Amino acid sequence: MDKRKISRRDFLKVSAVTIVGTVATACGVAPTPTPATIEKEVQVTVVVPKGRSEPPMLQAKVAAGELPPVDERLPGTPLVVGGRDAIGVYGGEVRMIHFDPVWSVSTYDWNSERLLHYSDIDLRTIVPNIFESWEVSPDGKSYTIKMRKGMKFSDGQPLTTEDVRFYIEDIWFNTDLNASPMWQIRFDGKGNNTPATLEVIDDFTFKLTYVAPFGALPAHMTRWEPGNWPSILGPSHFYKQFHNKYTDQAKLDEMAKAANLETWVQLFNRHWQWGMAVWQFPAWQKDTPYPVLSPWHLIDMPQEGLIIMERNPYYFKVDLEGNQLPYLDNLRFDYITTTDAAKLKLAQNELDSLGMHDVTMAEYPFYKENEPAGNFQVMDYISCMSDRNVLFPQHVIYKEDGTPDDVMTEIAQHPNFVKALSVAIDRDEINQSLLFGTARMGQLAPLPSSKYYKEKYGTAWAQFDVDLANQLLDEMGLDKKNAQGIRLKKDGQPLTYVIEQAGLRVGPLTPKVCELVAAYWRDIGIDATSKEVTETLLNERLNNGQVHCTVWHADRCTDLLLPLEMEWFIPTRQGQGGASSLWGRWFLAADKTAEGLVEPPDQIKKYYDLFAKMTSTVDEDERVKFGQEIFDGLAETPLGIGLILEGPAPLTYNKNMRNLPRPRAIMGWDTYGNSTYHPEAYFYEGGTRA
Amino acid sequence: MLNYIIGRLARMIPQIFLVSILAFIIIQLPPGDFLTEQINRLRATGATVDEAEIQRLTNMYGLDQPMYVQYFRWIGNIVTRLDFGYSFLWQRPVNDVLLSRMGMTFFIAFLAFVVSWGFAIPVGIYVAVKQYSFADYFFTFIGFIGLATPGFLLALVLMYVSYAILGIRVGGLFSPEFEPQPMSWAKFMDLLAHLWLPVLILAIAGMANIIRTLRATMLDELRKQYVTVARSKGLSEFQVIMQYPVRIAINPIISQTTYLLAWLFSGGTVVEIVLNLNTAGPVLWRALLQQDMYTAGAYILILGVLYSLGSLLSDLLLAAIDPRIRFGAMEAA
Repeated sequence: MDKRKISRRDFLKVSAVTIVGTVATACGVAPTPTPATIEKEVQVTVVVPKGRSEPPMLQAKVAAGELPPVDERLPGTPLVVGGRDAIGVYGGEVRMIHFDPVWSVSTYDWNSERLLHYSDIDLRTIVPNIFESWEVSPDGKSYTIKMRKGMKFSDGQPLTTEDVRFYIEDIWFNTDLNASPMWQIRFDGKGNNTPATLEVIDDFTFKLTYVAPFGALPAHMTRWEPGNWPSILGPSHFYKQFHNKYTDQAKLDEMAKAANLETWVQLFNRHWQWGMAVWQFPAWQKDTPYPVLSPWHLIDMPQEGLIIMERNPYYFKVDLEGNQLPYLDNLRFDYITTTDAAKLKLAQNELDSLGMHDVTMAEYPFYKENEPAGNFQVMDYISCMSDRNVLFPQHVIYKEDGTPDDVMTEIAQHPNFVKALSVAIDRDEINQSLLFGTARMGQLAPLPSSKYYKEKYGTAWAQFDVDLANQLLDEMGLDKKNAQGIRLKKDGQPLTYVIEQAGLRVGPLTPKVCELVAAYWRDIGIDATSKEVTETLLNERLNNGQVHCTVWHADRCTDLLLPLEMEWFIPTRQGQGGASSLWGRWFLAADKTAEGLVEPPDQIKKYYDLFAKMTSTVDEDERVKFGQEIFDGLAETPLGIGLILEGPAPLTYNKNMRNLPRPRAIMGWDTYGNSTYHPEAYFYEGGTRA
Repeated sequence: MLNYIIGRLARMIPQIFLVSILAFIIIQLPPGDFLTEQINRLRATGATVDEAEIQRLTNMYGLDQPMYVQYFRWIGNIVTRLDFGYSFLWQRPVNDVLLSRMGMTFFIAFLAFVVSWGFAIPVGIYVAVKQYSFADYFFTFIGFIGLATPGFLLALVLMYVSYAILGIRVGGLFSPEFEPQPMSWAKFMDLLAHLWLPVLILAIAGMANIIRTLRATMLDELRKQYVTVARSKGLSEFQVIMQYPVRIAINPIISQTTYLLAWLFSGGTVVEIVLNLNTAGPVLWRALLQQDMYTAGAYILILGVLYSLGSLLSDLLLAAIDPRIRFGAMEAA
């Protein structure tokens, strides 16, 4: 075995709390109590009770013969979720909200079931989840992956390698359905145009082979849900009824026509939704249940936007005593129109979980004020999302008429400029006035708990020093000022600088933060203003290079996601944020000689190379080393301007809820909200909410 | 009269045609389209969507065709089979999205209309007759508050008062426990318990306008000689007022029915958003934000048609009520 393979043994060494072991399940046979010995430091005796207890909600259905008994519903090797505060009790409903009628991002917070998972103890170790195990070849090019025998979708259909084969061959590589499949299955270390080879070994084992080492693949799999974009697995029996390879064309035409569509491709897309079906609840789900592997599945939408979920009777996880999870019976998501309505619901005790997308430090006093009389508890978590506003000075600037603005571009690319902008900001004042002094302020960097973090990343150019800012600007030739004290550019024009931001879409604090920052920049002789635009317009203008500076919230700052998506640190994306959308476009372009591309300077290309090495290496230490090389460079010459290094995320839960993430747990996009912390093992003390 | 109505209807056709073009242009105005929105979301989740895939999706949704082709396809479906297209945002036909909310939207607005007119018209007449009395000042004061306070602010204030001081649950149309259930007597009572707030807010906003207009026209009329004549003939004061000045003073109010239909449909948008009601207003708002073009287009088009119909209705009502207009129109025709 290659030393770099992460085995179960390694996992147990780091995680004394989450126990992933094998519990003997008896399919049809009454199990004898089996002391399951788990290697090394963790010695847990898992006693499987005789005839696993049936969740009360399902008892009637099982008795009536509508549902097989729990032993038959669980896979041969269910995943054991241990390390919680307590063994839970069944029952109860969790009421939540969402702001979007269909693409309900709030549901991922609780209900994301990934192919692999990160340990919720250290947030660094990849552990089995839907996939039971994986083994990488010594050269890092091929992965042998084992699935759980007997595991089933929420409709009782078995999960097999057919669900992988179909997803890769008949969705991704069907040219009608996809013009260009996700890059992770055509990764080749160069232009990413070589499809990976899929070898189906048996019903539960398959092998993916790449032409180049792809060490980051397991980490990528921790982001993939069945049926999602990207993913390599989904309920093939469901999709096949809309696919022309498996269903008669005439029948498809008829179905398309009935749905008011023109082609089978449109019909298929509607049910696959570019892979977003897992968070999407279009009307068809009412009549055509979408099979899932997650703890809860949709059972009803009594009115539009109102989503009711129920426990998935075939869920593949159990607690230490062998009880099938989840403990909580129902999730309910109410569609609401504004954040004010959310506050009202919270104050009226109508919410049992207020997640990542809905909380902000800006409302902290409101939460705390209502907490004693309310039915909720306010938690002390660390945010890797909304409130982390980061300013992104753009490095390639075009004029409004579409011609290059050489004067501004020269200023923007001068190493002094971003540094000066950064040290001109009084971060403490922002902390006191907007965050009640609760945040740890600093530079754009990985979270301090990340293994990529070094002290200097968080502090580089994050001091408040107006003299230094002025000196840096003077040094770069911006030393002449007009009568109003505004610095003059090389062309004699005053240096105007506009922060264009998408307001509340970025975060509740964003408009206020930008006003403060613009004021700091005016103090150093820059005619800075802040302007709010819609996200679409912002993206269009970013892609045209017409934006001086923008703001986005920097998630992707933990070990879970940072190594996969570096876009806030180095320009690898178009739109929203990053140092330059135009460089991002060059990076993403398949053909680097295409017209209209702006080639980034060598320093940026060096970052791209290091990022590519992070993707290919199988050695975790090496990956961190490459990453830190990037961060070293950025500490020297920053590209973005961070404000909050570590800020709180005051999530709220019902007062009766238990097995919650521990204080100072990291919450946000990187963790898929609660999902990393096993919400299937949350429960209400006493079985009901407060 | 029939000719008048036919002529009036014929004029509506080019009007509505122009409105439909306008509606289509408006929904195309903002940068990008629904697809760009969706791709942004997809990118935000970390997916890399490349140009080739964007091109395929653009083709699939027909967004690459010239504007006039898209327009004729859209209007063609509406005219031939009342099909307003597909809502990308709600993932279902626009007809369903709007129809399912139309009932409640009209119901709330209609109640507000009944309350506001039922209250405002008598009060308007009363304060004109009793000019400069305490009642006049009182209702003027209330009226100006209603006129000067935007509905959403009133909504916020009333929500605060009823929640914090009266301890009543507010927001939404139903209590959470009733929402998933089918309609029942208990659910209907629950609805009424929630409904008073939006109805009151919408009614107050409309009331002030009517009281003020009616008061002004009544004051003009009351001073005219025919009123004195009527009085001198010995009619009771009630008869004098109701049979003469009121019939004339009501005209400007009747002409407000031009806006009434459209108002029934969309008057409450901002209040509905603030109060978190599951009605048509928030749908339009979302549709515009997310560039859900067919929903937004349907909405704007329906509003346009309702304005046209409303103005027809008000003309007909005026003609029915006021012989001067009736005969004038007939002479012109």
